[in-house]
Amino acid sequence: MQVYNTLMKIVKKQLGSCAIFFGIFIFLLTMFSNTGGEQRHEYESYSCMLAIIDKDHSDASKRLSDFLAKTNTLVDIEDDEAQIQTQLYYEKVDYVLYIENGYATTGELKNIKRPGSNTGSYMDDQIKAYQNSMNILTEVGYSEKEAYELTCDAASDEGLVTMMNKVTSNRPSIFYFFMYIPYVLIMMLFTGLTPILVAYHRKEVNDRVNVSSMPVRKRNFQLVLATFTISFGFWVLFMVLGFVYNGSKMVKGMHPYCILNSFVFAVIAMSMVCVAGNFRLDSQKISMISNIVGLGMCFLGGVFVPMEIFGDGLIAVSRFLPTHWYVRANDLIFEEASVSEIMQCIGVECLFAVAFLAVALLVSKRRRLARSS
Amino acid sequence: MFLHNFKYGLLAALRDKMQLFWSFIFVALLGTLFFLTFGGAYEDMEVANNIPVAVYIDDPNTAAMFDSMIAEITIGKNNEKMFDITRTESLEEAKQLVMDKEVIGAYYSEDGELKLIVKEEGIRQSILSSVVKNYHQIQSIAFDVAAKDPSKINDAIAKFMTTENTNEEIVLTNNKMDMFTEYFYNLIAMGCLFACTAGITITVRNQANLSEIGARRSVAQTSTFAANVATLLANLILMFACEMLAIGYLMLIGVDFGTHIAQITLLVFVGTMTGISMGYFIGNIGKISANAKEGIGTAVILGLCFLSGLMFGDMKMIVIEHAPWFNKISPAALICDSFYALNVYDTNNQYWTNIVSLVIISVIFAVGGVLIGRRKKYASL
Repeated sequence: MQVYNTLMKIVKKQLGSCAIFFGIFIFLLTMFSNTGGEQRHEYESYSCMLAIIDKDHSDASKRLSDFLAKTNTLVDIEDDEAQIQTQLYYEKVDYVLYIENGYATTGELKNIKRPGSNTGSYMDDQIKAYQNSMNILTEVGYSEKEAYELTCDAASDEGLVTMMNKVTSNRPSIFYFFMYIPYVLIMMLFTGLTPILVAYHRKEVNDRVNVSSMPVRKRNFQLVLATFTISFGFWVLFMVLGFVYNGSKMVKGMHPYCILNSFVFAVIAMSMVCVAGNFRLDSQKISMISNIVGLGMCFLGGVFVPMEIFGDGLIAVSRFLPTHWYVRANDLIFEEASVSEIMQCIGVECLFAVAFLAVALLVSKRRRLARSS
Repeated sequence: MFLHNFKYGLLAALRDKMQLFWSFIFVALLGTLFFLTFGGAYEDMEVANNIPVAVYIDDPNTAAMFDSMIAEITIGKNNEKMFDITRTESLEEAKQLVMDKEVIGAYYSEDGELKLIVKEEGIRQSILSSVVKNYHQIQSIAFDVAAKDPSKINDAIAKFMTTENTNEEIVLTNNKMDMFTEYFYNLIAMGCLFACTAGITITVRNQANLSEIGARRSVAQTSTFAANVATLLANLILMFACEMLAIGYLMLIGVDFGTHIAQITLLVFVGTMTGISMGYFIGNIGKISANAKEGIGTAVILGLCFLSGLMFGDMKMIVIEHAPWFNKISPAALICDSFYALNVYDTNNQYWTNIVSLVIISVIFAVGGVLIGRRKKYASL
């Protein structure tokens, strides 16, 4: 196992660089460790981040605040223009409502919102409906208190809106664990494995090994074995980390499909590295290529940014990337879709792996023939 | 001699492909990916546009009330219709349009009630549901008014649907408040600060214990200070050109950096100067290897960019809430805030304060680098 042992010695030198990406992954996991929520079918209206600056301090202004607080999230804010602007920009607040002095008699309000925003017009509509309802009911003889109660009762959309999809208020942390694996696997395998393959495919080394007593078949077998050991070693490392972070959740419900999905992706990442390993690349070029491939595939495949915000054209491009199918399978698993749908996505990933391996073998053969001729 | 050093400094920098990759290609590539993935997200999610909706209401009373309600709902200053309505022949057809995401939701009637079906939750779905809510409210009000004075029902309904408004909008700015552009500001900040590696390379090439060219230079007659200034200037110009090219490319594909081109140019120049001077300072610290210095430089830049929101948009607000002073000394946050100030505020006070802060930081790093790096002697190499 001379070749195998040599490759393992080389990979040890790359472990430091790989550890950086492993560290990034642990950091991301820690950030998403407190997320999670129940799945539900019942529709809930959007809750705007609302700041109320009450200058009236009357019963009427308090009732308005209480009414809006029922369906929106109240946020504290100072009455300072720069601060309001910053909070609006960073979407920490959607709407600032000023209840003007004398509101109880004049009904006068002022607001600050993001210009032309959906959240702004949604809040405008809620406030207008409340004020109209209160005015009408008090005019026909109801007391303020009665009018408020009737307005609150009428302002519910319970049972009026049906939702087709199940939604989860927040994805569980295990979802993010599997979501970010493609990026780290690509980066770690490119950083750790490519230099070894490049070294073995270098003309001088290759020629030297070819004239040795070791049969080519035996050498290639050890090369493949080392590639598999390193790739699956990294994958196993992630799974161990998964069990440390998520415990028995890793094998509960549909989650074993996530393990299968990540395993297939590890094979894809390995086969992409096999393609890159055929070319003469120095460490700087490997770093460039890994960043382009890793970031490109993960951004366009929906790993970093949810595919819901992609346009149709981008989705069409995205389908040509294995990360798209990985993310889709992951989404389907957490939406508890049918096994056949999940396996279809994983099947497409397998085809990508086969295609990359075929390209790697083809390139390798062409380069060997070019050298021998 | 200054021009000679400047010329060769520029040639050496031009041939450093890695430096060009990180300063231009990487920024342009990441910017393209940002733009492709969430470049249109603000328009799609937050800007009030026509909402496509399917309607299948077979009850004539509900249909009449629904039509009069939606006729009043408009968006924008030109009072365009809020809903883009597709009337279907059956409820199944309406549901299919929702399923296929052709429309955001479908209105239908059931037992005299207006109802809505949506595929998922969101702000646009909530705007649709507010119509259903209002319809339900009108019915309740009619019932409550009838209990007191039945003759006032029609007046009450007309009053509920009135367009009169006592809620006046205060307009702080007419500029677009697209939080996603913050990522592009951060990206440019990162590109400017990546000039740090050029600063480190320059100092490494001056240190006899770290490079052969450093050993050669340490015995040359040329003043090290003069040679450094010439090379730093050459690198500053090249890195600045790379960032401007990256910005030009991003603007070309559609990223909105605003209209203050002259101020942006000055900002990028000062930001790149801060990056180079930071690298010059780090490169002169101690006698550690060139790789270690580059590692420190990269870690510092990425750390600063992380804290100003490059990888996680909410980070900026977290820093504002817990350590607001940090954003006043972090070059990445200062560059990013300057873009923000230019494009969101109507005055330039914040922008100029940040430019002065960046210049002060650059001077501190440059003077610090000169003080640490001067008169180094080597007993042996």
